[in-house]
Amino acid sequence: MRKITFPHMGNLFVIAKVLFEELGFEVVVPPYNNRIAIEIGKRLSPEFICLPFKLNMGNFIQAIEMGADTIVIFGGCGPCRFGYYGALEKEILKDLGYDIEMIVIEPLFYGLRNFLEQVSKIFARKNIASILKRVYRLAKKVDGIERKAHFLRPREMVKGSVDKIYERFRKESLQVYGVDQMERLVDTANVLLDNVYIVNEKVRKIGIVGEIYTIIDCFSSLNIEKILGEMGCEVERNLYISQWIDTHLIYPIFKRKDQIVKRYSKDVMPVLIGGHARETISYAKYFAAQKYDGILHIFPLTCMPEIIAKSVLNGIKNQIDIPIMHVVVDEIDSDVGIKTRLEAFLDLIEARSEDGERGLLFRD
Amino acid sequence: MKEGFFLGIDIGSVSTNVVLIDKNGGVIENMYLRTQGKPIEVLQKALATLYEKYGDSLRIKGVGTTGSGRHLASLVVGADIVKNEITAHAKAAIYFVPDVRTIIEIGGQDSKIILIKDRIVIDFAMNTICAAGTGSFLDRQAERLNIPIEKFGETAIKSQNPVRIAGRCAVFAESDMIHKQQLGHRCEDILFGLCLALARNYLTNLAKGKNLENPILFQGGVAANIAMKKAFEQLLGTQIIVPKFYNVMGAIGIALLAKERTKGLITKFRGFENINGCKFETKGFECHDCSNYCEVVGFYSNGSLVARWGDRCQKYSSNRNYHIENSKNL
Repeated sequence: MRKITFPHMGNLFVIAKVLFEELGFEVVVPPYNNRIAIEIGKRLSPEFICLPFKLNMGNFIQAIEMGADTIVIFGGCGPCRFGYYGALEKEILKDLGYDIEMIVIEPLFYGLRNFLEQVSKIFARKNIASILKRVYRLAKKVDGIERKAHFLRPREMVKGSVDKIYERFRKESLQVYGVDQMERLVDTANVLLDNVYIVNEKVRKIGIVGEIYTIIDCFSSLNIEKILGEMGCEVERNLYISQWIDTHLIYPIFKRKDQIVKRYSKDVMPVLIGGHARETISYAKYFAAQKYDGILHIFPLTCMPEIIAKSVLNGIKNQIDIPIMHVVVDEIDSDVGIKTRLEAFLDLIEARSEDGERGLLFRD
Repeated sequence: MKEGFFLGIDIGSVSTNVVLIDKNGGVIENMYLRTQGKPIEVLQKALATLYEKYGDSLRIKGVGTTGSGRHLASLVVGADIVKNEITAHAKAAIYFVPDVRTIIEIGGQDSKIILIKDRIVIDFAMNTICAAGTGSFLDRQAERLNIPIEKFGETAIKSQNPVRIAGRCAVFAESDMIHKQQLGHRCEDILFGLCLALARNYLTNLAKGKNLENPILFQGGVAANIAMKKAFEQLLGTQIIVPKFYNVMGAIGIALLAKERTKGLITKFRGFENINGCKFETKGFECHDCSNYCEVVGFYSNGSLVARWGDRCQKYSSNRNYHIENSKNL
């Protein structure tokens, strides 16, 4: 029987794990993204590749050491380098002498035949439709937990209680089997989160935009969401895993588009330049229109689409009156520098606002 | 000496600055010391010097800490306010030059640009990932050319014909400099070329897409270098102001913030004797409880644990909750 593994990306492992389990495979979940994964990835990856690639390599090697023999990843197309991740990773693993099968699922418009060929390797079983439906529902629920955590963190009475529940959920999700058990776990976490005592503190709202992997995966973004939560900010992201499934897997089938992207990208970036640049810009404009207090733009070093998005955002600064901070991430181990910048960013927001600490901060 | 004073401490990567201001915001004492990798000892020494000079007549009404070592320093002295260096620098700049619009700040490891309008910070940027073009790099190059860093500016400003040096990255800049050196260029031309390269690098990296309005302030340790000032003036085509206390602006800013924060409150300052008589220690270990492998750091004062940080799950750092939960006495 195949032992399937997949790269980490935030809470993707929760959903991917139960999906493959329902399909009847054995699943090897690599250890969470950590320093060791980066070390391995750094050693094996091309020098100027982006952070997600390095983490992927680290995950694969660690999973292979744990006994995995099949890797499933999504492919992509368009000018972003993600398009050749799968092929490149396959070659690197082959050079290292690992005998594993790599299943790269390309998006549908890359050719139906290719898609079915790759997909049939893993979906050659029973009532796929109902499994996919249940897993999709689970994905929505898991993202719901993350959203709830974002809402509760700045408001919790006992600091750290949300994280305790959240981390426990992540830990226990490795021990359950199948959609039903996982769903029960999600419900438990939901109940626990609902019972967190909250106080109505003055909460600032920050919108996070940026590159897909680095905003979904909290390790690569140095836990920015958690740090912001502790600093008293509610965080809203433009992308969650279920949304990613929506926009990249489901919408193309029905030839639909994300409404917000459609509405806000018309005048600045009408065409796709790959990666997540168009989403980044349109959601930045959306958050500004929603009267958020600030926008955080996170992307890995050398990410082409996001660099373009950064320039575009700089160019339309006069149109959208909202502070934007750009955070470039790579294999940084310490979060001290990030904390300094975030603190200064929040000070800036505070000074701008009418009711803030303005007097203390800058005026005499 | 009875009215009370405010202490501002800025612990950076290269320098540790301590200033003392009176209740009117006048700078009484300013100290600029090298951190040399021993922030706590240098801070203790600085405070001891202050104590020797003024003795018990020095009544501290408020203390603030800033810089990359601000949390450590706040644990040592008992700070009333802990703020990032960007806010502190902006505060001091606005205090001295109220209509300031742009602040160029270059320190040991960090370079920042702060844009201000109507005495409010409207935008800022700080170098990410790389520290090419900051004080440490200049320091190293001066050392390599066997010129004391204090003489760097004087030498470079004599240049008539600066050499073009690639400043995009510190490694490139250094090898480019060595090539030019081997071609036989004069030392001052290379040095001023380097200053121009660093100023260009700063303007293309940090100030990209930003409007640098007058008046422009240049502060931080590198502002001591008159050649850097000249380089910026040449590139921007405008006058640049270097404030009197350019190298301790962060410390002044945080002292001013501390003064405002402690209005009518009792300071948390631990007192000079307590700080100087104390032995501070930092010990770290790697936690193996989960696959995060966090490096947890503990801070001890006279052998007893004061604070812990570095863990992602907050098992150690939020030790209050953790200990309450795990205490058998409750």
